[in-house]
Amino acid sequence: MNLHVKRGEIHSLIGQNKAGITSLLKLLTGLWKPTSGEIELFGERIDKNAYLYLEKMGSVIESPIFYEHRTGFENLMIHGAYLGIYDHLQIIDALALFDLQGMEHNPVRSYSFGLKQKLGIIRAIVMKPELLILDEPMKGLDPIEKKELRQVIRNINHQYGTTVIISSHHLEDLEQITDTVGVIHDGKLIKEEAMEQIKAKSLAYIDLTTDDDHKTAYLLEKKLHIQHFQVLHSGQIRIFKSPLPVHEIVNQLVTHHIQIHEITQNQHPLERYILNCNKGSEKH
Amino acid sequence: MDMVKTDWKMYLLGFGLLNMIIVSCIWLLLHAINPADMKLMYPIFPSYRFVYEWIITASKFGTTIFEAVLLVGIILNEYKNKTILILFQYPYPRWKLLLSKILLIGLLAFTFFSCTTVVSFIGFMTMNTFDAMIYEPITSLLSVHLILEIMIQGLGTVAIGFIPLFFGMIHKSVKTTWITSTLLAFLIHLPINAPNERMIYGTKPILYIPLAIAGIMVTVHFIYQANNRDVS
Repeated sequence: MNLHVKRGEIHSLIGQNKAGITSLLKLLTGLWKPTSGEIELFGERIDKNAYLYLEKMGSVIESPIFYEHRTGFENLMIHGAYLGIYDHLQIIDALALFDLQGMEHNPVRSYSFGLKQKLGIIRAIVMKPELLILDEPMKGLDPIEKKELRQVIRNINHQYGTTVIISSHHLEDLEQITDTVGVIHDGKLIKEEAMEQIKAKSLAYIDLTTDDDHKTAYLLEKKLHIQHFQVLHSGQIRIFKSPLPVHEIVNQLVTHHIQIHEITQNQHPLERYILNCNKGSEKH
Repeated sequence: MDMVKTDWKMYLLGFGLLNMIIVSCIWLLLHAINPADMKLMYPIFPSYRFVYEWIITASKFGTTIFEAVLLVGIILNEYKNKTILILFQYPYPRWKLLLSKILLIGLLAFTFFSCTTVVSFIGFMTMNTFDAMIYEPITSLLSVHLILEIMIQGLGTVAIGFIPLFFGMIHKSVKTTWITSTLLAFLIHLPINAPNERMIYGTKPILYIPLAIAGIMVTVHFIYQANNRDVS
């Protein structure tokens, strides 16, 4: 596997469960030792006994783990002490990035999963690492917290130039922050592409299945002035770059007594990209 | 070191209680049992040597249990709660992190042993000044020879106390560590010799030395394994 992660970018790793992403991240963070092969990181070869590269790295692998009887603040202090940092200000600055709802002085065992996840991310970024590795960071977060996290990742990436490797099944969240996407299947990197390219390749479209495709096509062209559509097979019409909102199209079809059997709107280029990649890899 | 203030209070409470139990037991032995009967069993009764043997046996017993508390708190729980995953992501060699934990446990256990022995002895001597049972002079017992003996006994006890780590780490089980350590404390450190022998308490060097070596081997094996294995 040869991951091409550029300095300062946000690189997403996506794959099905048990594709080997967490294993890869554990190898990168030194939790697992390679049985064969070698790992090269920051341009240096990482052997079984290497450890100095870890000071350039922050990570949250699988679930966030803490000394549960200690407060969030104490956990961060312990983390700082292990790394030779005793400056409270650095920890207070990191805490300001994420809203811990005033729980930082409560024992971690009283935290919700989402709060632990946030604290885990704060711990990973408190030292402003060169490389930040996040494994499923969106897990357990509500939509507002996910939005906050996206913002924090972007800020860290922009302000400190931190390179981020992130693995998640929340494709719609990744879509908004990632620069490059790597698709892993069965322990192998099957595709690696820039998000911009994926977006450019993927056109948003609406699929319509009606009882009368001729009448629908006529209506779309003559009445609604939609030029970019394609009749795929009987009853199914794909509309590209629709100038009208979906509900308007539906209204018009209903007004003209056309029965709509199904309507689907494709908005997530990354999701389709992954599905295509997986289809491709299964064929092989 | 992951010990909060409440843990320290607990350890200090345990230390205080152990000392009180030791001194009270010796006091009862000296007062409640007929001296003639005791002399039949223990020819050195009543003497400071007799008191010392009792104290050292109880200290060994207490230290083995105390060391198990430390093994569970400082090593086993790190594995059980998976906080070891965080420790192993710090930029230090794993063996150094684990060796520092082992040395910390050893140091704390040795301090516990020495303090228990000395405090119990001082406690007994203080009580003896109010209600004298032993009249022999104390100078010889405070000799370098005795201090050296306490140190050697302490180091041996601490080394033996690491044996439960081997069994506890098989399934990262706190229960197994407790059971092994309790068995060890009962089988090795409690009186095992027949009456009328000079060394009534403690174990003979023939058993004690190999067990101490086994304890050291367990720590080496633990560090070697943890250094080379995947953690998840």
